[in-house]
Amino acid sequence: MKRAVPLALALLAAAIPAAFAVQGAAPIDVIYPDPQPVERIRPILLENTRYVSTNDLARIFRATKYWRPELRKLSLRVGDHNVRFTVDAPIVVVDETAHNLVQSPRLVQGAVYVPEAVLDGLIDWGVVANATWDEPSRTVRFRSPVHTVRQAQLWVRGRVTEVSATLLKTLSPRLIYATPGEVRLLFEGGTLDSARVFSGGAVANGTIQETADGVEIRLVLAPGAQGYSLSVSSNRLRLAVTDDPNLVQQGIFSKLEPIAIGGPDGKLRTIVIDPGHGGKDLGAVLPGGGAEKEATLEFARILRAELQDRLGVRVILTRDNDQDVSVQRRSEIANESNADLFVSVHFDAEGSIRWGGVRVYALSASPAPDASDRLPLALGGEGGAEMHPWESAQTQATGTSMAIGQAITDALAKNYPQTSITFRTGRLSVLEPVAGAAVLLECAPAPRNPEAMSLQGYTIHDIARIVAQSIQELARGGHA
Amino acid sequence: MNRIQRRWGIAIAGSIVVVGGFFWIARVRTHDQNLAPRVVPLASELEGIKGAYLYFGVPGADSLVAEYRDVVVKDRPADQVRAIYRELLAGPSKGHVALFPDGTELLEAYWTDKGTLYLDWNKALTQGFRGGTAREHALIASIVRTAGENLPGVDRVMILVEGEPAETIGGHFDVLSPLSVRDWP
Repeated sequence: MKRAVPLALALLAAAIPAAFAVQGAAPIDVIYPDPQPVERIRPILLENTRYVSTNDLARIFRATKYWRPELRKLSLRVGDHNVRFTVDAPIVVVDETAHNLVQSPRLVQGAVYVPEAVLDGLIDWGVVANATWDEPSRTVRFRSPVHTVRQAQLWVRGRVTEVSATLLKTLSPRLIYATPGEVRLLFEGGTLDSARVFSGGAVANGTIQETADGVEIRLVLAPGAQGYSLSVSSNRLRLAVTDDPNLVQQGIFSKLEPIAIGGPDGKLRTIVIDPGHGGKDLGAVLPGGGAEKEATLEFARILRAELQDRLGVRVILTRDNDQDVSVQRRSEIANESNADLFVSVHFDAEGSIRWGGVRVYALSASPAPDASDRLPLALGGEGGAEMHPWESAQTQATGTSMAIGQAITDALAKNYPQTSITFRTGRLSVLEPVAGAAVLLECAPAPRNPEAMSLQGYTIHDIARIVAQSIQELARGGHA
Repeated sequence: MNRIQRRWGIAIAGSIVVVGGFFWIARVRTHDQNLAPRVVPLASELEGIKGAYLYFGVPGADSLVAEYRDVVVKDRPADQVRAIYRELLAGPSKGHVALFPDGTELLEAYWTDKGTLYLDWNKALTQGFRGGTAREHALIASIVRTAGENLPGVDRVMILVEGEPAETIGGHFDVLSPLSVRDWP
């Protein structure tokens, strides 16, 4: 009897899972376009037929499920299509057309399962247009979107270095800036097959990547670069740079010019610094409980002193105490002062700069969706005044602003290579109406010492000094 | 039949009874499930379950992450929008970052045939916001991407606060005109 009891218990233990198990079938891989990871779904085997769960189908194909228990009908709404299954009936109605199924849908453990052949059917019936089902490899593969910029390559031919790419449709590249240090190009709204990094010849470091604005090519040039040329023909982009001054003199290449941040005479006269937030608007809560509005004012005062010492220019603060200033008024102060440069200062301690760092922003090179309705108004014919809509005044200076932003970013990154320092673009309210060059800095204080505003081993004095030094170099005709 | 054989016989018979009982229970349970499926019975045929991808923040990063959630929706587009954003406002379930200020509610949703989705929020969205560019960017991207991912045909999102266009949510980004889904990846 003593041996019989364990035996009975063992039989019992084996029987419990067997009673509840549903036999699994070979899994199906669902391959989405990058960057989504591959997903694996597990069909089940019922009467020698593979079945997939409608829950999985709904998730994969972004469908909405409708279940009517009294009729035992389950509908999947995929886009404009309606696919209706009935439990235990070997038929499916797609929109208004009925199709036979090899086996009936089944209700198993509370979920509706349909024969695996439905995967093929959804594509055949035109319900799913952006995927394929390959039964031998058991793979559902979603097609990648058709990229408009593809196969970017770098060629070095003697003293000419060329980046070429195939364009799928007629895209007009927009040259953001071309300085002796860097060339930046944007295909607004373009998509890219794959990001690349390249170097060689006159290009010290080049990247082509997708940004929020489209496809961007950025070439950091080797010392001695003289000219550039840009052409698009037969769906082919050719962006070339050279260190041969003769090619520039012959007019084959355009001269690379330093960014000019001063007025028409190249002199920098007025800089407006905007300490973000203030008054009732506290801004972000910084580590240790300090308010962003206090940190921005302190930083702005330090930066003002640095710029006045180095450049001897007029520096105006949009606020010099703890007061409310509207976003619009800040931009107005820049325009009323005829600012050559506007620097808005902010502090944050979230995201990638949670543990210290700086983000530098310029206005997005891509216009706002309805900006085409607000084109500049020319007054007095050719050579006359040009009036720009208030909210898009910055678009005329976007290239200069981006070059300055990139130069400040590079200088900070060079000094603090271990810290998160990035350059970005975006639709920033305070920059949009500013007519001159404009950037926004977002600094992060180190969390352990917010009182001293130390930034991972450096202080805001150091940050202000590097920013002022970058502006000084640009004012002297230094390049980004 | 000796004593040992008798005991074995009792043990085996007992096992058969127990195992058979479990199979019978399992069969009945499956049968019961057929009668009362776990698929949630819905109030009317106009309701369904939409698998929605909701976007939340990632701690220590500037990116967003999608969480899959089953959302009970009605058939009308505006109701679907409200249901999806109600789930988004409910917050993440996997240690991700909730981006909306406390007390934020979606008051109304309008969907034009030109592909612009109007989302009308209460004032808590702007008045309760505390954060820098990263949080504001993530919040706007979460709103726009959730629409782009789950509502085919929506190309742009217009943010309203109590019926009026808002200049900005947190003082950094311009939301006065519609936000293109393409620009907030």
